[in-house]
Amino acid sequence: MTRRQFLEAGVAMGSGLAFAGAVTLFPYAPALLPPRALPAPELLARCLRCGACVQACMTRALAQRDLSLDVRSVGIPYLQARRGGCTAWSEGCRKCAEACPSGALDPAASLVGVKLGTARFDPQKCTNCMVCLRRCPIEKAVFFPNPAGGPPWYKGQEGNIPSGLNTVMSPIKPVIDENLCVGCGLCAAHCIPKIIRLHAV
Amino acid sequence: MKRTTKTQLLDKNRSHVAWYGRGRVLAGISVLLGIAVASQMRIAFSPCVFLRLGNITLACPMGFLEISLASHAIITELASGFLILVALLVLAGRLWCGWLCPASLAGRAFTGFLGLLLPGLLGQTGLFRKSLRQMQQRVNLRFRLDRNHMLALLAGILLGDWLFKLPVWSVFCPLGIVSRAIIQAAVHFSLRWDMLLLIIPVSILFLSGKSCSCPVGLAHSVISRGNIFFLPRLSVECAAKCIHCGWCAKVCPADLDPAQKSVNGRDCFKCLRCMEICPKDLFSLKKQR
Repeated sequence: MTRRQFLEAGVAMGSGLAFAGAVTLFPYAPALLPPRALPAPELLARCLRCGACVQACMTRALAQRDLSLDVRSVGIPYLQARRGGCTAWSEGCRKCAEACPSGALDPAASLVGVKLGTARFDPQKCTNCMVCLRRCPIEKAVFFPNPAGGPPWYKGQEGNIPSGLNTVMSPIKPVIDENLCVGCGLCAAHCIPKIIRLHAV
Repeated sequence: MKRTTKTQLLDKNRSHVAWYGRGRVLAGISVLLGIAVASQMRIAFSPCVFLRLGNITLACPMGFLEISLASHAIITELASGFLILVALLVLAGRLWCGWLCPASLAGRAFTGFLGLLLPGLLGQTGLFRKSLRQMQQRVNLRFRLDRNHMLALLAGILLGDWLFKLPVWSVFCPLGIVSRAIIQAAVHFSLRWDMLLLIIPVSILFLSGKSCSCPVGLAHSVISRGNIFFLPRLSVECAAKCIHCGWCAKVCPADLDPAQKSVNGRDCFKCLRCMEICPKDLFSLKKQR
């Protein structure tokens, strides 16, 4: 190996290293990671970006992150609530974690304390269709401003939805408890006026 | 050296040979379609992870190296599959690059399609492909890039993976970009920006003229260095019949040397282009001496 070849190889190696370093400079933008995912820094290191979780997702809620300022997490799976919510809490689905080849999503991981984000909506546009209340897998994460879990005139304990009562024109709207909400996105996916937005933690 | 034209060669009645090229295209298309069909059937299949049998996962070797380095641990889920893949690569060589790589097939199809779309701008079909290839060759000539530089670049990227805890190549890998685009199209019926914006610059950097020098192929070539089987070779009696037309060297993506009439396992794609083009049918796949 001549001196010139050595220098050229050094320059090539240095440019590879500089390229890797330059990619790392871009800031991490939070998104709704799939449940059972490792925390963001480990996930970025361990995810193969192969899309197996996206292929396996039952509700088609997962997508791979596209090119943005956050170059590091291109190809990382995230939850797009408008495509369909995550059924990990409601049905115990773990297809994405089972499909993951590299262990970036762990099928044995517990869902206790896992929070992807929170759902928020503008009450002015709500039509009181009660779909969010029906779909929410977390008890009392969606409620009416009534501790009993119904509209103010409803005192019953079982069932959150008042039967036989016309709630459509009611001025009282459901409320999402941002501490209890886990961000599965089922309410946003099924919301009829499509007003519920999910915000990553 | 007297040269025959390509059309004269293709006029010859060698129908079995035509299936080599068709086979390459069919294999590539079946991988491309396979990704889409697998995503519809909710099965994990992509160029990054192409087989899962129980605990054994055959994944991209470059991906395995990258995430092992980035997470500072050997990924045990993929390690057994990686060892099997090493054995396969030593036995069968770089079949992946020649037959199955969706990025090279998609790239050729895409450039051919663009050539059809832009007739006024860039001439008839094939000219655009030629100009892209010329662009690649110009980049390589300008910087005098060869395989050793690409290996050094790969080493730098792998070192960066370890230092910055990020599988950098996985983000920019053309195979990954193409497979992500197909998965997104099959699952969500939408396009991806990285497919539209990244694939052409990455291809220009990492497709060097006839052969690919992308890090995935480089990783394959490093592993398949020990491959001695199924290599196109001229026997002694066949070498006597050689008319020195030079077409084998011209079509070979691995820079087959016309004097040697053989390539090593490190470079050979097993694409059978030399067998396809040879007017005398002299090549055969043999164990290297």
